Amino acid sequence: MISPNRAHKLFPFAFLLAWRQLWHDKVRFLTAICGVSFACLLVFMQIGFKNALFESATLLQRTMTGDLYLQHTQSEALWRLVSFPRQNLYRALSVDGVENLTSLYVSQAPWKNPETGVNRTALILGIDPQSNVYPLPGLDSQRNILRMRDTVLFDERSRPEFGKVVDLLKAHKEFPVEIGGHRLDVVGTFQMGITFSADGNLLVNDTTFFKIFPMKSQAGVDIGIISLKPGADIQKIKTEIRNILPDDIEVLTRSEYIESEKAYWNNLTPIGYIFNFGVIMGLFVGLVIVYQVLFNDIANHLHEYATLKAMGYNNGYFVRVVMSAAFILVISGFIPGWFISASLYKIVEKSIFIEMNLTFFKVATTFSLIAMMCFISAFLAVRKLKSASPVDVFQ
Amino acid sequence: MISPDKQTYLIEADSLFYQYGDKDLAQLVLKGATLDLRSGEFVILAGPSGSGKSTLLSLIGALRQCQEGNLSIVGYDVKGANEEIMRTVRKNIGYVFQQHNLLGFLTAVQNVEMTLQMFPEYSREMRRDLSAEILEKVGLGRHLDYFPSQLSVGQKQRVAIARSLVHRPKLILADEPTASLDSKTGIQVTEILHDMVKTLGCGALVVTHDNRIFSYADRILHIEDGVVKI
Repeated sequence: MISPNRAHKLFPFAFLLAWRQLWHDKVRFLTAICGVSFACLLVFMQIGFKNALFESATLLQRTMTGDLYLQHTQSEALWRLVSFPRQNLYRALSVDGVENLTSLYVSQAPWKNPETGVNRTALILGIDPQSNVYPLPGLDSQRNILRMRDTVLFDERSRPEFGKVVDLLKAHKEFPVEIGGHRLDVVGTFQMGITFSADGNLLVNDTTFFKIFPMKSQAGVDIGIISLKPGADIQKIKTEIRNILPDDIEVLTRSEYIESEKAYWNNLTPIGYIFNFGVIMGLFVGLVIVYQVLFNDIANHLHEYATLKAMGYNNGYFVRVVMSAAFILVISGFIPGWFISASLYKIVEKSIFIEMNLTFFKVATTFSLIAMMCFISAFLAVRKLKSASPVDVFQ
Repeated sequence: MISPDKQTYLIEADSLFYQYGDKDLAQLVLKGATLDLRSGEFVILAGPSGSGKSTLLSLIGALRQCQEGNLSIVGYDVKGANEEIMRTVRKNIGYVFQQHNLLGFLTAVQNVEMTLQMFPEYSREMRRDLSAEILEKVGLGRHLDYFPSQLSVGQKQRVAIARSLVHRPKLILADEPTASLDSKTGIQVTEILHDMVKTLGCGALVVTHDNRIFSYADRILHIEDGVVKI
């Protein structure tokens, strides 16, 4: 903290007066700092959760390296897919510039914990093991083994409730497990990460996928992934493919595909709204606390301010004092809020197994919101200054 | 506008009328108040409550606009003057109030420095030195870094006097400066104010009910029912 005497050398008068005013009543200053820090914490956490949701929800999409993606228009998200006829995917091969294509099948099935026997729902991805559009860590060395029937690769980053799969693999190289009522062999692991919709992920080949989900039509594809020749014009080819496919199939670029998944969580589920609401609540609480502190500072010094106005100070000076106080609160409250949030991110990350990064964007966004909150509080409190009429001092 | 050079008279108020409210609710408070005050004069203005003292003081203090009559303060004609001129006039006036109105979060010397901060010609060192010097003169040389809460009522009023005089104003306006003080302290504060006015050569208009301090006045004016009487 800068002492008032040192601050004298550094800042203009209005800032200095604001600093001295806040510093003089340390309990109230601390209360205000706590209020701002708390708001800061809430905003950081809500933004962090929301971001974690989006980041985790698009983990697979961001991993896949396909250039264009086909899906049914009724598909809403990775875990709510509607299949479309495979022949439509093959029609894309007729477009010049398309190098190859592959199908992705996605569904969910209960995984029976091999130790406890408790079922846990897993997201099952049926892939062509030879396709190179899934650069998932760990997959490359196990493509051949995954080609075998009834084999499963387990996501190491799944929640611990799925069992000590890695330990079992170390001990037995492979072990049987029951997935959706079918006996399959876990033969290895890969790394992806869990999402808000799936606590654990499994990779199987397409044949095994249809064994687990016999009701699913083998003539259908959940997601079609198209890789283009190097240097191909993605937008042009997208338009050409769009023109030869029925209207109930949408063609998306990689970024559009990622955005469509985010849009589902943000717009079609209450989760995005809940996190946004949390941010607003945090800011509102902070706004009330900061407003109270600034308002009381003005209200408690109305006579003194009126006296200074009588002496020749203008209203603008006091507006600068209040705005300076707001600025001091932004800085003093934001820094501890930031540090506490950084620690909480680590704790939460370990608890929910979803990556939470305190990025520059989050820091800048939170700082901007907190600054806005404090200056709105100051703007509201400043209205009280009008009550400080110099005429009133002669009463 | 009267030239600022015309400084023999610090206050020239001629037939001032002032009313609050309009039409049926109009209340005429000043009814042709006339007075003047020259440099070096210590003038007391006395009168009962509701006689128009505070209104007259606020007009002379350039805190409200004059409605009827002529009013010149420290050489400026303030009738119809804009806010800039009013503020310039106010910077030439030192105000002392019934309550000290010191900022509780500033020390004595910092409170006094607040007056000088309005004037860019004073450097930080000058502000500190002049403030310390005037506090010394009012007997608070050893209390420079005391907060108001650490000072007695009389000491606070002395800080307020120092704050009103530190920039060498041409005119002092004091509104019941002894009202919140006990008898002994009230006389001490008046003595200080009187001595400072005489030393600095400015003028002072002191509104008071306190007849114990009348002996310090060069002239005593009475205001009654909105009219000033000698």
